[in-house]
Amino acid sequence: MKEPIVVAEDLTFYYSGSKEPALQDVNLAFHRGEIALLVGATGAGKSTLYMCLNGLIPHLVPGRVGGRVLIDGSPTSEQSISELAQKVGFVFQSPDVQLFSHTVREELAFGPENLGLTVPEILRRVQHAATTIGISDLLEREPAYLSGGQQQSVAIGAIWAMLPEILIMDEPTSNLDPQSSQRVLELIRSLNREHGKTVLIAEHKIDATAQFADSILVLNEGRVAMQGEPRQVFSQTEKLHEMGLVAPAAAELAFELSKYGYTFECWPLTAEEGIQAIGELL
Amino acid sequence: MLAPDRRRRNPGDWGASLVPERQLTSEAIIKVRDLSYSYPGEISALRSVNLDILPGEFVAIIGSNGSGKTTLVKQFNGLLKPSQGHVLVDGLDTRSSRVSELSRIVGFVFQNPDHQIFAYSVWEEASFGLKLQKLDSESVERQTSDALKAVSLDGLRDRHPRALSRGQRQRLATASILALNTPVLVLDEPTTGQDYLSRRQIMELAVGLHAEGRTVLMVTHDMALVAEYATRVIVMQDGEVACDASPKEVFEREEMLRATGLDLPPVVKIARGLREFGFSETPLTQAELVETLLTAIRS
Repeated sequence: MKEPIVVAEDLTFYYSGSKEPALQDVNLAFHRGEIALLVGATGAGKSTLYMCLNGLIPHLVPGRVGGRVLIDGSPTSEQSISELAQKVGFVFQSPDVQLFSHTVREELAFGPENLGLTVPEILRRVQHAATTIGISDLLEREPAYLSGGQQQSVAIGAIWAMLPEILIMDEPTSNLDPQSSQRVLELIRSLNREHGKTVLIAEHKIDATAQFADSILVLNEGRVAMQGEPRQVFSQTEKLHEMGLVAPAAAELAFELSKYGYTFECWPLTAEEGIQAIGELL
Repeated sequence: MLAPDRRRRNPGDWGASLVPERQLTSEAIIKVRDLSYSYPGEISALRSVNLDILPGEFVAIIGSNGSGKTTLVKQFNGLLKPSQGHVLVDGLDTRSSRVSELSRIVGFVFQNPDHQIFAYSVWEEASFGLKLQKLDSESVERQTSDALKAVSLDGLRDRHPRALSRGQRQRLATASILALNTPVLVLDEPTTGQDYLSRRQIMELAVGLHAEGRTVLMVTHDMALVAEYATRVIVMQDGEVACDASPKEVFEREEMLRATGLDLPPVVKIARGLREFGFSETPLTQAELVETLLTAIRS
């Protein structure tokens, strides 16, 4: 039985001074240990949703809130931002927005220091994060001079050191080359599989991420448009197009061929599945 | 090659006539000769690069993070100057030219719009470069307005740039360069962080500018963009040119791509995999793949 760890109930949010809701009547559940992919066009409400999950809404961002968010069973309105920071970690889109220290070691220590932990505990957390993320050899390096992929790993490590149960990643691979993207996604999956962390990833690069996700949440104009398993969501290609979104290339190809009467028992998502499914037609 | 009269169509006064010592021996608008570059105190970021960029090309520059792509294109408008060798931009040696001269020829749209944007309104940002060029106010008005229309921001001219979304800021940064009407346009990762529709919009814009005769140089990690739009691909690896060929030729060299941190675009990967099933076409876009597949399935 999958246990929900993040629940939104009738969640609505208006930014201060705005007549249009950024989120409207959002009901959703993410389950412990799953990787969920958040998909939505710019302005669909993804960033607002993250802020509702880590407590910046309702605690810090001015606006009007309706409904509620439960993290691990308790409402965010009844937990402080620092309490929530230990449960929900947020990794920024560009690591250079997040990273600021002179060494990777300081960067990893920053979060635990701000939680007011003891020095031995801080050091233990730094070691743990460095080992888990695979950046032990970079501890004395200056983040600004690392490669994009390494910087993204350090950014994840800095959040990992706070030991959150839930990791939110805003386009973690958007600045990375294809192979570094693949490595970061594999790192995220291993953190999920080996440590049971719940991961929410927002990405526009659907082809690389679809296969890593257990579930897909599609936001459109502040509402939940679809939520389900990847194959179920990405087989509704036409509906995605209406929202300005696309499915992975293999699914798009199956959709195009289906217009000519070709049918697919199992809707392909990855290139490999696409090759198999279409190869059978040849 | 761009004919001189066609080039003078651009309102900027960058034209050849103002540069008497300009070398007229080559067709290339950008010539790179034995270019090496090292950032202060670091190992070399570019090593012995030789390139000719011809007018009217749509060149994709690809390579892993840290391979030297951005360092290379920053040489084209003099933001960085060669440690060794030469870069000639429309005949001007970048070592002895000011950025203000070079920026009339090469427009540079940064990867991160926040490194570029500084003004307090969309209009001010988009018109800033033109004002520096001391154009009359009518031309400033017209060129700024055209550029903002091209990126669909003309309705937001009084908005503060910080109040725009990341995608909109990226388009604003593009507009402020577009307004300059430079014959060469460098786009450093233009679609990073953009959703599907914005990505399409930016690329349609680039295609339109290319169709007007401008030379477009695009640094990107997005292999699908390379496949769909580029006429030529330059693959950088460890500061050197690892490969310089057409998209089709580059994608045939799968081993080389892997060795440089890259991957085939999904459409090409699927077409390649289908060779096993007797499919022999080499489409670059989804539309081409669908078309060639239908023919193959029906025969």
